Amino acid sequence: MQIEFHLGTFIAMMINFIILMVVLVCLLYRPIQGILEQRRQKIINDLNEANQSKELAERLYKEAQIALEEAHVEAYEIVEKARQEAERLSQELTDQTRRELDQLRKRAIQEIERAKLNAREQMREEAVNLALLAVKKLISSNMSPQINGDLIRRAVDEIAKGDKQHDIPGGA
Amino acid sequence: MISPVVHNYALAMVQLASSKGSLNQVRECAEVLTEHLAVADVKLFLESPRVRGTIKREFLQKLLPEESPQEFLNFLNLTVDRGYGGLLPDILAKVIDYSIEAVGYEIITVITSEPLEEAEQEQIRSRLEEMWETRLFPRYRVNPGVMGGLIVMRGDKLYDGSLAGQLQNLRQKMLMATE
Repeated sequence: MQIEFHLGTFIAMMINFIILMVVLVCLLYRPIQGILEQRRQKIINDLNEANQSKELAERLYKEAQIALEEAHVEAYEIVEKARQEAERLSQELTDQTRRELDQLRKRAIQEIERAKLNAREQMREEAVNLALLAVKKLISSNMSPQINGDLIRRAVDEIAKGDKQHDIPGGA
Repeated sequence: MISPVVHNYALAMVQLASSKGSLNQVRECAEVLTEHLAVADVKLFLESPRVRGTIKREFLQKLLPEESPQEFLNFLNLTVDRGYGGLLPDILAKVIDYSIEAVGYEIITVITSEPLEEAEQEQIRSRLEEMWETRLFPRYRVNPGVMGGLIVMRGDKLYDGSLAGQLQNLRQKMLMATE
């Protein structure tokens, strides 16, 4: 089979091809070009946004670092202050306890001294009372009307002289 | 401390008796009544508000001698009517005291450990009268606690010539000396 070349067919086909190309360019290429442009623009925007986000993230990170450092310092100060307060309270408590112990010791010493004095006083009184009891018994056993009469006469003489005088308690 | 009622009633009675010349009789009546009133039940009877005044008056008059002065009877009636029957023992004691003082005696109290014989009492009275230059009416009391010697109470003064007092002084001195 032999292929024949026809110029007219060839020209018609060329014209068809050119028309097809024009139609394709007009109908498909330009919209695709627009879509590609939009796509490119969007990618550029996304990249810009990504860069901005990265910068924001870096900035926030730095701020967070600074805040963390400040928090560390503040926490240290709080701990330090608490430690000092605890030391002060501990010291105060120790001083107060020491003062109270001192007072208790002094009071105990005073009470012991007072008890010693009282005991000594009681012993002295007991001794004197015993001695006087013995004297009273001696006097009672030796008392006679004659001795009593003498005592009365002597007492009257002393009273007459103004001795032995007292005010009666609660008297008029 | 004497109640003003006791003082006023007793003084009024003694002044009235003095002016009527019946001081000794009033004193005797007061002494007789005092003896009877020493019984606790009689005192309760006189203090009781349930017993009427007329019954109290009749009772008191029965205790008195028949020749009691009228002013003394009136005085008793007045005392009971005014509601001072409970104070009667105190008032009578003061009537006795004031009637003694009204005739120029000073009342003193002498306390001894044993009862004194009359001669001893007289000796003490005359010695004290001589020294104090006044007429005395001693009341003698016995208190064994005195031990020996005597105590004389004159008005608001106390003269302690007792062995108990001397021992008390000795006790004080011993306590002071051993301090």
